[in-house]
Amino acid sequence: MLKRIYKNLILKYPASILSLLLIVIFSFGYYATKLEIDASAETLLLDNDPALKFSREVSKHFTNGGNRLVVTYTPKEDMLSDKSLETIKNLSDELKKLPLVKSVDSILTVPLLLSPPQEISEIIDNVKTLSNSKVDKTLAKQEFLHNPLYRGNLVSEDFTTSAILVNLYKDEKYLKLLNQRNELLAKQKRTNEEEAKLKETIKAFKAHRDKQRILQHQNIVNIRAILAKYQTKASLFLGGVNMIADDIVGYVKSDLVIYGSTLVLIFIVVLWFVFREVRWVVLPLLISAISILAITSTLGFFGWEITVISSNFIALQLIITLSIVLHLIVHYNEMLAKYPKAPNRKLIYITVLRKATPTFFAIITTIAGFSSLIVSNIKPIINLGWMMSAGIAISLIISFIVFPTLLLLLPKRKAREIRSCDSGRICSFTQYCLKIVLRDKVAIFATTFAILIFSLTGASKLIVENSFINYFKKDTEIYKGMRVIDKELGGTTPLDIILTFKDTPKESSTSDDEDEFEDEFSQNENDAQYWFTKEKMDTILKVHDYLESLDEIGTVQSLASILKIGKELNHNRELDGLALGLLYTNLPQKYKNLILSPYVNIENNQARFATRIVDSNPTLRRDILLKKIQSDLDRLINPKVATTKLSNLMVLYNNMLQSLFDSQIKTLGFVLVAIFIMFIFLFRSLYLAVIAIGVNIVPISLIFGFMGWFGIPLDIMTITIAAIAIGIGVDDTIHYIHRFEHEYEKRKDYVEAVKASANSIGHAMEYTSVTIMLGFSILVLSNLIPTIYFGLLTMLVMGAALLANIILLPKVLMVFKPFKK
Amino acid sequence: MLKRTILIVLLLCSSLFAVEEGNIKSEMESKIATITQILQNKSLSLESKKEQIAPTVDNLFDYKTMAKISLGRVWKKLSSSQQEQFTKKFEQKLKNSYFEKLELYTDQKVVVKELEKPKANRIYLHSEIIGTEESYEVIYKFYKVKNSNDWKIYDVDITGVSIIQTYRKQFSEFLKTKSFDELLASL
Repeated sequence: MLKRIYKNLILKYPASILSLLLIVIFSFGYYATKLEIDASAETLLLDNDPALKFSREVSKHFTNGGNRLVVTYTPKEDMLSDKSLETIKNLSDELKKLPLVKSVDSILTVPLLLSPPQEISEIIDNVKTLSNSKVDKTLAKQEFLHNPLYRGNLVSEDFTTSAILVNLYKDEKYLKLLNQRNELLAKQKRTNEEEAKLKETIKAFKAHRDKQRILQHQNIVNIRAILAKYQTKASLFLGGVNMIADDIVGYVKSDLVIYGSTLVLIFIVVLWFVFREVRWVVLPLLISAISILAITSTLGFFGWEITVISSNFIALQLIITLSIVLHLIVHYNEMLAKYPKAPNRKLIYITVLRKATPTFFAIITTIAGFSSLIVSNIKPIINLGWMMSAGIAISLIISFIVFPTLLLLLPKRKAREIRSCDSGRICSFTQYCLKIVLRDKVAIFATTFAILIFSLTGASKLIVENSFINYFKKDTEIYKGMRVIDKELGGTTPLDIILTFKDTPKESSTSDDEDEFEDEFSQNENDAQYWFTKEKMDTILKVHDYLESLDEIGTVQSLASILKIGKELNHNRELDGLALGLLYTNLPQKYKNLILSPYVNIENNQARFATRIVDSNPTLRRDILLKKIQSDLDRLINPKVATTKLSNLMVLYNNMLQSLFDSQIKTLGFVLVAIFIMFIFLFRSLYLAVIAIGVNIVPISLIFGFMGWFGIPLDIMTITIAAIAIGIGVDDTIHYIHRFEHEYEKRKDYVEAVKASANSIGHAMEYTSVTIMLGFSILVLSNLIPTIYFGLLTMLVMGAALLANIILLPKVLMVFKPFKK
Repeated sequence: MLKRTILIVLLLCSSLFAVEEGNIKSEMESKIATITQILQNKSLSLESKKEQIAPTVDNLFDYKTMAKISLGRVWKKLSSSQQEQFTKKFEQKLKNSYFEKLELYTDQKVVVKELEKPKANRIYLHSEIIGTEESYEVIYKFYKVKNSNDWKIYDVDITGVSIIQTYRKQFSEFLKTKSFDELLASL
C-alpha cells in the first residue's frame, strides 16, 4: 500500500504535495508563538496527592511565612554596629515600598524579650525592639544568639549573617480560582452550566496566573536591583523557596535560546563535514525545522505548556528527526553510488521504501519508551510523554513526505566519490570497528561482561533524591544564596509537622441541680484562653525537643520556642495554664500574629512545628528521613492525646519523586516486553528478538551503573533518561539487523554480511550517533545541573548504543548464527 | 436553754464562715483593704504575708465546691475519702499559685466596683486592679449555698480567664491518659 501511495501520489505530484504540506504547517504555525513556559511548583506535584490538599489546609489554618523571600545579610562591620543597623533600616524601607511587599522583618523589628529580662507583665505592655527603643547591644546580641526563635534562624550561630524577611501579600485570588477549578474538576458529572463555568474558571485562572508570574518576576528583579545598591556595604543574597521557581524558568528560557542557535550551528558543521554538499546540510535542517514548527504549533493550539521537565523536548525531537533523515540520505547516496544511471525517481522510491519499515519500527519503539512516562501520575511528565510521541510521529510523516518530494524537485547530482579504503588501512571509525569484530576472539564478550558487572553494581548504588540546591551551579547567585540560608540560617526546604489534639467528647448535660455548675462551665470550656493546658504544652515540648535532636533538621520553631522563653522570663519556672491563659488574653493582636498564629490554631485544636531541612547535606536520604520522623512521632505521642502529620514542600516533592520512581520501574519492564514483541513482528524471529533486546541491555544498564557509581541521583529530571535511553538506543539495532538480514539473504555468509553492513548501515549509524552526541553535548552549557546530566547521560547512551550495535551485535550474530541456512 | 445557746452559737459560727448578700460588697472591700495593706508592708517576708492573708480568704472561698467543679463528672465517681483528699490538695495548690501571682503585686490600687446578679443564686463582684499603664478586671463569683443565706466564692475571673475553668480543662486532659491517683500525686 505504501508503494502505491508513493508511486501514484507523492512521487507523481511532488510539487503539489510539498506545497500542500507547507501551507498546512505554516498556516498552523501562528500557534507556535503561543507556547508558554510554566514552572510553578504546582505543576511538579502529583495531581491527586492528598498531601497537597493537606498542605493547602495547613496554610489556611496557620499564618506562616509562606509567601516570603529571604535576603541574607552579611555586613562588613559588626552586625549591631550603627552603620550596619542603618543599612538594614534603609534597605528595609526601600523594600517596603515595592507593591508586592507587605512588610519587612529583621533584627530591627523582632521583639526582644530578654534584653533585659523583664517581668512578663511588663513585656506585654511594652514590647521592645531594636528600632523602637534604646537597647543594650550586648544584651541584644546575647538574646539573638540565645533565644530559640532567633538563633540559627534569624541570625547565624556566629552572628555574622542575619536574615531580612520580605513578606509578600498572599495571592487570595489565585487560591480562590484554584479551589474553584479543582472543585469543578473533581465533579464526575457536570451540568452544562458547570461545564461552562469550568471553562471560564480555567481561563480566568490561567490569565491571573500569567499576570501574577510577570508581577512576581518583576518583583524579584526590583528586589535584586535594590540589593545591588547595597553590595558595597554588605554581602547580600536573595533566597527562599519562591526564588527557585523563578530562576529555573529564567534558566530554561535562556537554555532554549542557546539550544536553538548552537544546535543548528553544530549540525551545519557536522553535516557539511560528513557529506560536503549543500543540499545534505539544508535538507535535514529544513525537515527538522518544519517538524518542530508543526509540533510547537500543535502544542500552542492545544494550550499545552512547556515545563522545566519537558523543556528538553525540542532538543530530543530535533535529534530524532535528524536521525531519520540521515538514514534516508545515507541510503540514497548508497543507491546513487550503486546505480548512478538510474532515474532519480526510482532511486528515491527505493530509498523510501527500503527505509520505511525499519524507520517506522524505530519510531514506534521510541514511542513505546516514552509511553512509560505517560503512566506516571505527574502532569508535566505525562505531557512530555505525549509531546514526544506526537512529535516524533509528526517528524516521521513529514520526513517521509518532504525528503522524497523535495529531492525529486531538485536536480540529480553525481554520486560523490566514497572515500575508499585500501584493505589494511583503517580510514573510518566503522572500518576500525569492523576490524575488531572480525579479529577478536573473546575480548568483546569479556568487555561486555565487565560492563555488565560495572552496571549492576552501580545500579545497586542508585539514589532517588531531590535536592533543590544541587540544581544550580556553584557560582550562581541562587546557589550561593541558598547555601547561606541552608547552612547559616536554618535550612532550605520547609517541612511542617502538624499536631492535632484529640477533642474531648462533649458530654450531654443533665438538669440535675448540682450540674448547674457543669452547665455553666461547659459553656465556655472551649474558649481560646483555656487551650493552653499543661498536657498540651508538655506534648508540644516533647515533639519540639525530638525534632531538634535530628541532625538533618536545621531550625525548629513552634509554640515550644515561646514556652522556653517564657520559662526563662518566669524565673525559670514553667508557665502554668493560668499564666498562659492570661498572657494569651492580654497579648496585643500584633504579637499574637507574630508569635502565636504561625504555630497554634486553637479552633482546629492544632499545633504546628515549622522546620527546615538542611538541603545541602550530602548524606540526606529524604524518604527515609520522613518515614523515620513519622514513626518516631507515632511512638512518642499517645494516640489518645494527639496525632501527627507531616506536610509542606519536603513531603510533596518526596511523594512526587517516589511515585515517579515507582511508576518508572514498573513500566520499564512493561516497555521492554512491548519492544520485544515489536521486535518479533519486525524480524519475524524469536531468536533475533532475543538477540536484539539482549544487546540493548548493555547500553541501558550502563546508564544506571554510571549514575550509581558517580552519585548522580535519580530525580525528576534524570528519571526520564530511562525511557529515552530505551527509545533511542534500540533504533540502531533495528536499522542494523534489518540491513544485515538483507545482506545475509544476498550473500549467505555471516562474515561477508557483516562487512557489507559495516560499509552501508554502519556509516549511517556512525553519522547519526555522532551528530546526536554532538547535539546533546551543548546541553552541558546549561545553567541547570539536571539538564547538564541529561545531556551527558544521553551522550553516554548514544555512544554505548553505537558501540554495542556496531561491535557487539555483529559479533553475536556471527557467533550465534540466528538465520536459517 | 440549751437549744437557745446552740442556736446562738450556730448563728455566730455561720456569720464567721460565710457572708450574706447584703454584706458582700462591704465584706470584700474590707478584706481587700486588709490584704493590700499586708502586701504593701515591706517589713514582712513573703511567707509571713501568706500566713496572714490565708485566714482572711479562707472563709469566703468554697474550696470543696471549687474542687468538685474542676473535676467535672469524675467527682461523682470518687469515694468520699478520695474527694476529701483531692479537696485538700486542690486547696493547697490554689493557695500556692495564688500567692505566686501575688508576688507580682507592687503597689497597685484595688477598687471594688459594682455587684452583678445574673441569676437568683449568682452574684458577680467586679473589682479592678489599677496598674501603671492598664487596669485589670477581676471578677469574684459568688453562689448562694443551698438552703441558707450564705454566699461563697466558687470562681475568680481575671481579665476574662477563669481560674477554675483553667483547672477544669487541665484535669480533664490529664485524666484522658492517666489515673486519678496520678493526678492526686501530681498536685
